[in-house]
Amino acid sequence: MKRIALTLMILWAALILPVAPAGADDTALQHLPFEQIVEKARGTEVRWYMYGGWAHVNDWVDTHVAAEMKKRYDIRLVRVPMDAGVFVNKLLNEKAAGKQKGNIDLLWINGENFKNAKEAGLLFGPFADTLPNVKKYVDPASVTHDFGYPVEGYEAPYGRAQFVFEYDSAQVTPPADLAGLKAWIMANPGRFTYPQPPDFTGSAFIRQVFYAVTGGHDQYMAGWDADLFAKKAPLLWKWLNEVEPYLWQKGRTYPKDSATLDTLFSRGEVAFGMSYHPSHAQSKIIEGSYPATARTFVLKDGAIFNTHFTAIPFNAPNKAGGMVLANLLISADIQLSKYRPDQWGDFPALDISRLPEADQKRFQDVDLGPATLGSEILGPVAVPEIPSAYLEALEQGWKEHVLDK
Amino acid sequence: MNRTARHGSTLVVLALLFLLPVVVLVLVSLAPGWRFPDVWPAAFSLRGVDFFIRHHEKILMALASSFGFSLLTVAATLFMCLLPAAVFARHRFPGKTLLEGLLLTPALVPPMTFAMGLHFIFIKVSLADTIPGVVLILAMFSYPYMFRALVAGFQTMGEDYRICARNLGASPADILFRVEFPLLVPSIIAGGSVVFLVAFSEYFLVFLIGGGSVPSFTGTLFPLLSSSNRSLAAILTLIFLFLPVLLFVVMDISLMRAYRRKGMMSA
Repeated sequence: MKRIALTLMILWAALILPVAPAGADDTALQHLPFEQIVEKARGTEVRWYMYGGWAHVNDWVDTHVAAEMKKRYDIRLVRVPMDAGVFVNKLLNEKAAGKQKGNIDLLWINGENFKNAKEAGLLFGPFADTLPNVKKYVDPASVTHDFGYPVEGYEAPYGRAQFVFEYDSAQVTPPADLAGLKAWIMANPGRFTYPQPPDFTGSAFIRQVFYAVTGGHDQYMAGWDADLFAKKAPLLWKWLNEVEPYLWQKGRTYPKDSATLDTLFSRGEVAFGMSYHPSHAQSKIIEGSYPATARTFVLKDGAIFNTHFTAIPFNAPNKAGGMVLANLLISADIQLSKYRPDQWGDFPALDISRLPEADQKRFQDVDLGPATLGSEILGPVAVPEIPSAYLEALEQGWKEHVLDK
Repeated sequence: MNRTARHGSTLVVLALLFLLPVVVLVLVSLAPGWRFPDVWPAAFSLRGVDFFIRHHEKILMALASSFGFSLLTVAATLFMCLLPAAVFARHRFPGKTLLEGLLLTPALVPPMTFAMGLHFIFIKVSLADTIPGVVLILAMFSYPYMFRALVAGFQTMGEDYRICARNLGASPADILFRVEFPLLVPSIIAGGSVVFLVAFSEYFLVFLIGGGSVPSFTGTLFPLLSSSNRSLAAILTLIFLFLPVLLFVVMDISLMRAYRRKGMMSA
């Protein structure tokens, strides 16, 4: 009996005793010249946690980025596939348990996951503004906010994406604006659907409709306004419910994520796909999943764009290595290779006009392929992401007013 | 005549149930663009295979890791269950039914319910992000399968062998390891197979407790399954299918041989 009591006490003590707080190392790191950070990181291992569902992106990281890290800094890059929501939870648990040495050095993150992580104190920083490539090539104005939430140097820009629709040019002619899309859906029952929010892509689709049917994005940029939302949201529910009976499966069910929609589109079950990556269709053609006649289009009412980032957890064992990787990712070489559709096709997050002329030329020479729209079409319709409080309210409201109504 | 015909139709049904999906998987792995209404794929591509070949090191590493911690989980559950199962098979005591029911609950409640809390404790005792942690959490919710199989094994075996061995002067350890253990092998195999499959195909727990430090095959496979790269997902699914089948075939053959050698089974 005594022994059991003793064991329990030890367990209990292990559970409540605080672990020693982090040293002053972290603050020092933020003020160290970058060359010294590189020296500190040389010969180490960096563990990068990122979404793992895109084979071509995995491929690009495992081969191209890993090889560059090895060649330039003698750093071993380990990619770990994990969804952003999952690693934020993992970090929350580790924070609560007082674990000061985790196993994640860099995260691929943005939007509400960034907001949740930063508010819970899960991120190391600010570090982004000390990275040489950020200082040289990134337009500071373009990365002050992430879904309306201030970045403040806690994440480094990594790529840019914009919402496009996909269609098979051998089968249909795309509508020009949202009204045209609605007319098309009603004229062709069962041939359109969108992924069920909170799927990233489906959620972006309803935000676009929200902007279009409530008179533009400007009014929401100032931050959360409950009265405004209560006044405007019903217009969105009305639009979505009006088209619902004409959707795939009569709107009784929705594809659970954008990959499911991709599959429906690739099998020809629906006429339109959608993606938050302008070159997604081109990659899919190269991969052999989409027909060679697949193309993309945007609606005149606007196409949401956003920037995605990398961040370093508070308990990263190799913060210097994480900073070196974040800096490499925003370098001209890596951004260029990421831009090429046979690699990934993700749009650059740096300001191309700040690059040396030779590099600017290299960006202009990239052949995006016939399915990807150029910046002359994407630029004029680009609209910013909504502050994340609206995003969460829209996702919840969709479930209540559209799915379960 | 009648009998062969019946066997024939059974075989056809089995083939439809088990072989046809495999054929479809093989086709999809070679033709990612196979779409309705084509009965036969219009175009074949080796991109999926190509990806697999380029990444074989990482994928095989994950496979080896999954295989390893699944086998360790089998060993851990065996260790946990051997003596309790003997007690449950041989003794009656008040509250036995209730206790047995309680012992089986981990297989019935979703692992989510206790995993989050355990993750916190595992972090505290430094088991999170380690292989022992993963083995322990997997053993904690898959041991009921081993337990049930062992209880049944002890019951079938009866008490006679043990009493006989004791009368001949064997020590308790000798009885356990040289008399009972060999007789229990079929039950261990039965329980162990289920535990192995449960551990091998578990995604969430390995992910949570392993924290990405313990590579697993499901961790590689699942993100691709939910992506739209069907050919790659098909290839990995085929591997996922092949490995346990291979394990069972090898085990079956070696067991048959062992039994025959000992003369415990007529040839």
